[in-house]
Amino acid sequence: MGIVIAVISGKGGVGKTTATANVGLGIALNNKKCIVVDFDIGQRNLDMILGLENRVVIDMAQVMDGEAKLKQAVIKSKVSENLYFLAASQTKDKSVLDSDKIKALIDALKEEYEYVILDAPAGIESGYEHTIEFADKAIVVVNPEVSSIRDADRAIGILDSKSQKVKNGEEVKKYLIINRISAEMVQKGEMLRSEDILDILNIELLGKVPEDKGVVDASNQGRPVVLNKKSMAGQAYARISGRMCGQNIEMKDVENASSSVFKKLAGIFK
Amino acid sequence: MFGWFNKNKSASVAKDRLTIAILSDREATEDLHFMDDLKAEIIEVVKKYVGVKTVNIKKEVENDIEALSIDIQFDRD
Repeated sequence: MGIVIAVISGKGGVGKTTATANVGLGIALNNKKCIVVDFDIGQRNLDMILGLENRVVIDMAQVMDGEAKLKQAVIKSKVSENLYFLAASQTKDKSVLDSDKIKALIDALKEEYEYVILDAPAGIESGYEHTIEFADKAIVVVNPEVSSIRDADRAIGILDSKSQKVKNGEEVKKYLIINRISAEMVQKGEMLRSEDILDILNIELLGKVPEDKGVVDASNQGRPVVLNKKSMAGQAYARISGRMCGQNIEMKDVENASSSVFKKLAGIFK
Repeated sequence: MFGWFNKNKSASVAKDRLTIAILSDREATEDLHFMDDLKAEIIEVVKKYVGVKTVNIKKEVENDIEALSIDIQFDRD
């Protein structure tokens, strides 16, 4: 029986879909059978980031409505034989996100895959509540920036009140990815530190991803950045994926990593 | 010295503002969760004695006094 992980954020544009693609692929590269499902119907970018946009024939809504079989809709990734993808609806809007249908779909996916990763709509959008309803765990993606963190807290609040697991008296474990960290800005005191963000949100840290031009380059090519071993963000996602697979990987201090000048300065003033 | 220096920087302003904003966000939603449970329990208790149509609970704040006003409408059928 597979585990269902919803990737959530408060607002859009924080890199949630990029995180979904990279964590999904990273888990697959750890030899786990993994499917990523695009529930972010308004945005629908996961196919592009995975480089699978030309292979989408049948989408998740058609499966949920019984118009097609799940097997017909699932697309196998080109880069890992363990990674599969189920596309968001191309034609229907978010009203297709009906609780019973989502449960049936997720139950079917759990039978087949070790990891079921859901790219949820942003927390402030409709459709979010249904997407997170059947999650076992959640990965929360934030940028070190006030509106992203405030909205993430609200999204976590909704998760804690609407999820089936919570209603059954269990806990939905939440993990935080802090995305687009600029070491230089953190050192200058112009960007929130990860410790401050953790203090505020009070959930477990899964990983810190530095701002990295390689992410855009990767999505241009439809090859998630986790494949690029030279990219700082790619390395961060490889560590994050390993942690999700139960490996004990030390947290890298990306806030002090990139600039040795700033590192020295910080050392002097500490 | 670095810590003192940081105090004037925008990151620490961000932390202070966020802490306050999130506390008040949480307060607003926590009230709602507790209201739903309270409502359900009140209905259970009152139902033992008389039919209940609806229960409405409102939080009222006036100066330093916080109160809950509870309206219970009987079901005469």
